[in-house]
Amino acid sequence: MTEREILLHIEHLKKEYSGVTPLRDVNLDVRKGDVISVIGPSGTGKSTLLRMINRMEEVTSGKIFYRNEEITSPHCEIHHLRQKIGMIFQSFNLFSHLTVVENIMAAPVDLLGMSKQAAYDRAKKLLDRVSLESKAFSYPDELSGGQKQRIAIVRALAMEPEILLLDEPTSALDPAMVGEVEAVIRRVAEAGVTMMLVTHDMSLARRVSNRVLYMDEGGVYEDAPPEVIFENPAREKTRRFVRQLKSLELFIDSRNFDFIGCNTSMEEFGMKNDVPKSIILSVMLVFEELCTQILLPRLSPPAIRWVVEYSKEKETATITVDYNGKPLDITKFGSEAGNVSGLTREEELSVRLIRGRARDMQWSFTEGEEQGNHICMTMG
Amino acid sequence: MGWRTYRCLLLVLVCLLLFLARPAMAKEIHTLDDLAGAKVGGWPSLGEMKLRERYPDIKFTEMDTIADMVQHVRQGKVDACVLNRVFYNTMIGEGVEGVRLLPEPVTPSPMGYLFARTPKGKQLVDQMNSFIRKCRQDGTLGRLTEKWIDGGEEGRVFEKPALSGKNGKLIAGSNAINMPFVYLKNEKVTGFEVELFALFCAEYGYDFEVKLTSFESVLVGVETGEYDVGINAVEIIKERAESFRLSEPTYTDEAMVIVKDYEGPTSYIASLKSRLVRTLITEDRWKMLVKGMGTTLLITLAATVLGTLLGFVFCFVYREKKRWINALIDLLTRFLQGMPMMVLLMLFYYVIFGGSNLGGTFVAIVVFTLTMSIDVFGMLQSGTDSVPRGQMEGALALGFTERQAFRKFILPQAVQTFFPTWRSSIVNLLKFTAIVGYITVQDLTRMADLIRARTYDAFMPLIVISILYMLLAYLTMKLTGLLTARLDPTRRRPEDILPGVKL
Repeated sequence: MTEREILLHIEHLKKEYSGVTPLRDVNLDVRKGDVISVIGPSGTGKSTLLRMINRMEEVTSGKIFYRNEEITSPHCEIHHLRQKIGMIFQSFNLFSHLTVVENIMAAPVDLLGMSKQAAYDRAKKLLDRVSLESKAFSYPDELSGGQKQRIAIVRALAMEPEILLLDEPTSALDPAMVGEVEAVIRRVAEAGVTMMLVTHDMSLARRVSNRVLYMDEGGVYEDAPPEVIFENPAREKTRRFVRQLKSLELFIDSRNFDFIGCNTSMEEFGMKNDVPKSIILSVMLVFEELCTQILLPRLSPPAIRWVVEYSKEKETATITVDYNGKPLDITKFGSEAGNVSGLTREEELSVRLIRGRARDMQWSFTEGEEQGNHICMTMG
Repeated sequence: MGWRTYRCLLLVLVCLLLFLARPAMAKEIHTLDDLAGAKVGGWPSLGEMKLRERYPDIKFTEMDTIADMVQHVRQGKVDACVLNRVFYNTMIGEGVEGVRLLPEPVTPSPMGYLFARTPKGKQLVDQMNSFIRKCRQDGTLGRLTEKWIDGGEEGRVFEKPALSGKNGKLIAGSNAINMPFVYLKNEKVTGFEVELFALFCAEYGYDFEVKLTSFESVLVGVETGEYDVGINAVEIIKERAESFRLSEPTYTDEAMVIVKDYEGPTSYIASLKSRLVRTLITEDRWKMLVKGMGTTLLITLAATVLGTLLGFVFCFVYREKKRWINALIDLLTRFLQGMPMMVLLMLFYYVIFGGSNLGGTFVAIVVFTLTMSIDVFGMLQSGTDSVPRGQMEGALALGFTERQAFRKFILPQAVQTFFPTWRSSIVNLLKFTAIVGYITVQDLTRMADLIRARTYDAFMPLIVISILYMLLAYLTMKLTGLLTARLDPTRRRPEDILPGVKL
């Protein structure tokens, strides 16, 4: 197989803001047909990298080439290159005073000198491909988020770009709308448009791209196909990042901890990892019954560690809870254990609820540890 | 608001004003002695001094114009006013109703010319006094008195003698509102004192020019030598002789007292009608109002169009980010915003365009254009800021240049947030033009003032122009509303969206 030609060449790219340097030394080649997902912890300059490619943001030092033209050169007429390098934004940025079809036609008519009729016909054809032909004369405000993003992609495609930069294209969407946008992105990729997308949606990254860049330490930390990055990363920080994606750790050290915040992070965890809604709801119920109903009133001060992990293969969530205080087995109660644990009637009700959701509940106690009580359970 | 609602509101408002201006009960005064303890108005004069001397417990209110006095007496705000007989007669000649004269005069009121206590003033007052004596003997004074003071308005024609001016030109100061002594007729200064003074100038080889100003400025101007003479029906009062030289009397009037006409022959409603007739119909005064309205509209329209265009120019230029030009625009903004509109007008009229002979209307248009442009510039700036940053990025990412993007995508959106404020600032502009009278422009308000000075009716011209201003403001809002609705891209008809494209 012959090497595909290089479209973008980035060398020693650096971006410095006053006080922080998110990108220290980035080197990268993007080949024709690549679909690259850029992932990594926040603050590692993923969006900045993308926005420097079409000079939405200026570089501090280093060079970016598009084919043979140096984008970063002060003599570069960047608005000409931008016609070939499209960009999709998290907030869509459709022109709100124009109809959908005018949004799409504006650039081809004004910049490519296309006749209105030709631009209109092309816009209609493109709209048809994303099944939004009926919305041609709607205004952006009348559309859903997913529809807006599909239009934004069509608007960029109307310029027939060689490269498409997507800056968190699904982050502002309801989960229900991610699918429709993802489908469009995949279709564009299949059509051979080179793409680079920054995303927090790992399933999107896994499904659409042929390369994943893990950004850390001021540069591209690991560059590999998605199977490798997500299943078998080569380097330490990538491994930790991917593992953290699959587990959620919460620590409670006060009676007035942020209960709503904890619930929200569990919901987000569920969304990011495609955890079925029913499982996440069970996890949240167990969290409330176990932590706030039973453990918190008994422990002063509390020290509870709460870890949720999700296995995609088995479709099960595992909860591990470690807590301080005297040995307290809440897996048995009433008649079963001769009421050894000394649970009240209300607490017994909570335990019943937990047992209704969880399987394989086990308790153990390790003498001498700060959080000597361990509970492990599985759901789903 | 619809026209029907607006019309009803207007009617209610006018009725309310008429009701508020109705005559009130006042102390009844039939002889001078009834004035003890009464409220009396007027300008400082011999009559006023005499009254205070005779009735020390009088409460005196100072008033500037005869129209004020009539209005106050008629509404019962004061019980009486002190006024010279000649002025009263002129007023009655104009058809003023609702006031009458007490038969008993307060005091004689001699009048003359005012000169400075300088050597030149001394020379002039001596020449003037011997001229007055001569005229008294040869009957000239009697002839002029008959023509200007005793006769009617038809006979009052200023026969200007030929003036050689071989001994120089005299500058006279006057407020020119003392009919029939010195007043404006067909925009020319005329009157008893003016004709007498012209004859004096002819006799002594002078030329002269009358500058129009307030009475206070006449006094100050004569004292400082800016004016050689004050022609202002000046009363010869002893105290004035300390700072000025006064000529011998040219005419001796009588200070009288006017009171409300209790048995007035006409009802309030009927008097309203006759006042309305005098304000609008007599001498075709409505034509003055129409002319004034034209001037007001011309200034408003010109300043709106030019100011809006200039504001857009500022906005475009400012975006080029040229340091010096932007500093200049900033400076202009500070300068124009920090200045009361009236000060600005005077500054432009007397200082900046002082040397040129450009008319007041032109200066007013310049000033209002500038202030409007700064307003528009500011509104566009904040309108632009209110367009989300992403709109610009979206356009740039497609390959538009910053300038193209601004013109095609940012400005059309900014303008939509700009329109409501723009519309109300046009109405504000319309209202602000009411002060252009200060720089001699005869706009609607100024015309009402002129009518008021002639009819001595302070109230009716005000009512008329307030209705006219309200109508103009309403029309402005309506028309700009229609215009802005047409310019809203989200309100286009479907067939206007892509004209010429086969859908």
